[in-house]
Amino acid sequence: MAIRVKLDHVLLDRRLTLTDLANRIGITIANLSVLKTNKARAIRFSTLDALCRELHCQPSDLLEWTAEEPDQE
Amino acid sequence: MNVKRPRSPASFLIALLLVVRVAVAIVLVVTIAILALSLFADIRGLEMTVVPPSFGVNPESHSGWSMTIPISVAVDQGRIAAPSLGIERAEIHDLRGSLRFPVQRGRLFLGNGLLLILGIGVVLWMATELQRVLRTVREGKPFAPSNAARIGRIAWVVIVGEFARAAIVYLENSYAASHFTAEGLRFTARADFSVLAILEGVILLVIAEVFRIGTRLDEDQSLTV
Repeated sequence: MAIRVKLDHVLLDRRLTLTDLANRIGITIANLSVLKTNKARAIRFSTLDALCRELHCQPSDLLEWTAEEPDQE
Repeated sequence: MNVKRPRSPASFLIALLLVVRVAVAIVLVVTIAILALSLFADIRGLEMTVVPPSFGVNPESHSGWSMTIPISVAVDQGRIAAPSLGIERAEIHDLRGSLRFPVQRGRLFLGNGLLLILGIGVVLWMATELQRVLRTVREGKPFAPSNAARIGRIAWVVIVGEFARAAIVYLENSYAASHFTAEGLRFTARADFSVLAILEGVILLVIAEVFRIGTRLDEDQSLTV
């Protein structure tokens, strides 16, 4: 899967930290970190909904498709 | 959730397997010690069976070492009939048993001794692997990545072990057939292959595959945000 999560860019634009976002949307920092570091296998609509609501953005602002495979860790 | 359930069936099985492991380990150590000692000293009443594996010392025996091997015999039979059923001729075939005989210290004895140690070692290894699997079950993490591999290894050992057991039975049958004679009996060689044991191994392979898929699903679920 070559879907990249651009959460770090959006957080930088909004001048927010991961801890702030975690507190606002009620998702643990550990889970948000999984998302931010592109280790997530899947994202729930409810999570996407909460992220878009708090960050005032569209899903396309958070996700992008790239042709290259992500690094396997 | 990582919660230990001390009274769960897994805990009971872990405790049971611990007892089995300790008992098998003691048997293994004693077997190795007796076999090593037998190389240098004459132990009276030493008795050894490879299939099924057993080892012991009979202090009342006045002979030296003895071995028990599986045999297959054909009987020179007279007329067998069941007139009340209207059966005029029946046959006894595939007669199996075991043959105990005194044995000299030599290749046969040592070879069987090594096979015995290997067999006990395999049982000990399987009990250890099962205990490790059950520990992860007790901790609420049955789909630990190592479990599929462990169950798969046990499955292959069961399958290969059954082929090895059948081969040993065949070889020991052949040994009896080529060295022993008995009035009214003919020793034959048969492999005594158990399809049921192979089936058990195949079932374990299926379970290993289920665990492998379960591990992947568990990982997917844990990485779903």
